Amino acid sequence: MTLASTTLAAGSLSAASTDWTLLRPKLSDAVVDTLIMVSATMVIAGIAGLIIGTLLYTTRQGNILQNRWVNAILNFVVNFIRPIPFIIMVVALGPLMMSTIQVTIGIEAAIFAMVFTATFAVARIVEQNLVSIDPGVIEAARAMGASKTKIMFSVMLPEALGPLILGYTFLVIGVVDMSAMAGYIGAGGLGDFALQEGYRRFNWEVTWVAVLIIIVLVQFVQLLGNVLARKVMRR
Amino acid sequence: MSENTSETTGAPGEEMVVLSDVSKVFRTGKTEVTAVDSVDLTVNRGEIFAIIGYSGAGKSTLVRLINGLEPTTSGTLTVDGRTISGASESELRKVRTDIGMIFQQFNLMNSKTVAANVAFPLGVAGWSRERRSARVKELLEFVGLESKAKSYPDQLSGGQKQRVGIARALATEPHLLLADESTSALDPETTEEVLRLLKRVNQELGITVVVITHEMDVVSTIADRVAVMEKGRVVEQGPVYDVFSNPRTEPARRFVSTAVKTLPTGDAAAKLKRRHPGYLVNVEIKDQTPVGSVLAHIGQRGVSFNIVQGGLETLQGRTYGTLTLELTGEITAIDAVVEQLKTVTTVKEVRA
Ligand SMILES: Nc1ncnc2c1ncn2[C@@H]1O[C@H](COP(=O)(O)OP(=O)(O)O)[C@@H](O)[C@H]1O
Ligand SMILES: [Mg+2]
Repeated sequence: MTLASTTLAAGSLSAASTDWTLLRPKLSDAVVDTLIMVSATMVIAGIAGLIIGTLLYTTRQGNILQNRWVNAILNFVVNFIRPIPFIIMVVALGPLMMSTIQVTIGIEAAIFAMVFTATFAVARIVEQNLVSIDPGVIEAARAMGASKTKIMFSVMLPEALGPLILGYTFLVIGVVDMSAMAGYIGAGGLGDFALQEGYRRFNWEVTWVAVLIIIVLVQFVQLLGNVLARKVMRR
Repeated sequence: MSENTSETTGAPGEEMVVLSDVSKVFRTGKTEVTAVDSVDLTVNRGEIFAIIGYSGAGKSTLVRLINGLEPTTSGTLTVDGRTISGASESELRKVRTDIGMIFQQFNLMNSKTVAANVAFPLGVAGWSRERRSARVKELLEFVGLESKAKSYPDQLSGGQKQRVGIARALATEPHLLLADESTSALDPETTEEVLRLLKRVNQELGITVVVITHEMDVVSTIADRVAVMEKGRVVEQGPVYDVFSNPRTEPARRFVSTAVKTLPTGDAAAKLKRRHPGYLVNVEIKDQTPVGSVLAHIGQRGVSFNIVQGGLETLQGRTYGTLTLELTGEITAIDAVVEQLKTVTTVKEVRA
């Protein structure tokens, strides 16, 4: 008998006898952990990325906070951080975590790494959506005597709100993806559950249940984002 | 609609915008562009002042200097007695609430309703909520868009968008309205509608209007005085009739020729001469020019005439333009007729 068919046999054997009474509490813990990691990351990185992205846009040549140096530095930092694979980032951020939050494993450490990575992704998405704003609208606001903060909060962000919502929705999927790797530093979550309780024990049923829950989660977020964006853009 | 009640409102005829030796130089890398070059200009209170010029002449830059959207490079610029050149950004923000501006592409906020767009400058100027909504209602009535208060800009036609733009620009009861190519994105009919509205803004509300345009029609329809710009310089300025009935510079002449047929030259003159073998002269017609009474008597000299080309326009209630005449008869008699015409108007021979 080949190795593959043994695995398959073992898989179907254990699938038939999956003990959900033992697994259910672990699964609900995993769901909660994933929700905590994803939502905490989206909130913190969402705000931090919004600020950095807005600065990336407004410090551009000809924009209201035009500043060549700030713009160049921000661009460099974003371009430097963005290509680093998350799994490497989690490890590489160890020293920084140690000196700030004093832990390098567990859910806090995972959130730290996720926020750090997601912030720069959010920043780029925010910048890209702000760029599509008609500069004439900003000029009109200036001509009316609006201050720079008024322009940012009452003109730029509302004008780009629809695409921004879609951009954030898109990023949620990336953050869910990151959270699946959080198990590597002992943070739990659905990804870790699928690996530990499913894959490692040749239990495809458990793996697919975890996958299914992730799909439902992502679909729900996507639907919510689409509805909100449509409402904002009135289309 | 309430009148302008601010204490700074002065009598008509006083100076509203004064530019003395104003220049604006853009530096991008090593290249320098002098967009506005040593301009002297005065816009009087209560008038409609047009600035006409071809694309790239520096019109938009000039108008953006007036409300300080761009800082001047040199020279002094005052609006309503307040110095704009060299003013700080926070001073400029206050000044700008007293200056309205409308744009070619309307520049409305698509995320806000018509009413919210019009209310925006009121929020900036710190008006209370109740005063704001009363003012918005009044403004939308003035521009005839009460029914569109809750619509969004993308549900409006171009003309309606510009009317919202005008309502928004007038919200804080400014003394000065700047219009940068405000009708250039509109069809002729809508253009007329918007120009009529600007005329009402000027006449009913007493607001001084500066109109930027590359269209002769806009100037002749609403402006009192005009400045012609070319390569950053104001090459001619004065009352619209004076400038266009007697253009002294090349760009002014070109604008006049877009409105009326002027002295034919080159190919056009050659074609005209082939079809009309007589002696061709071009006579300028202005208000009261007695060209007709001269022509009425040339039969006595054995000379007859024929009108072969031309065009007349009315500007500010006065006529201007040129007619090309074909004169036939004895050479000496024709000479005498031309001399007689020269005593009443400018006469030019048509040469191929
Ligand atoms: N922000 C700017 N930076 C550099 N050059 C500019 C800028 N704005 C305008 N210019 C230049 O100034 C000149 C006048 O432009 P503009 O005022 O827009 O002319 P107009 O409105 O008459 O078409 C043009 O050569 C244009 O390229
Ligand atoms: Mg222009």
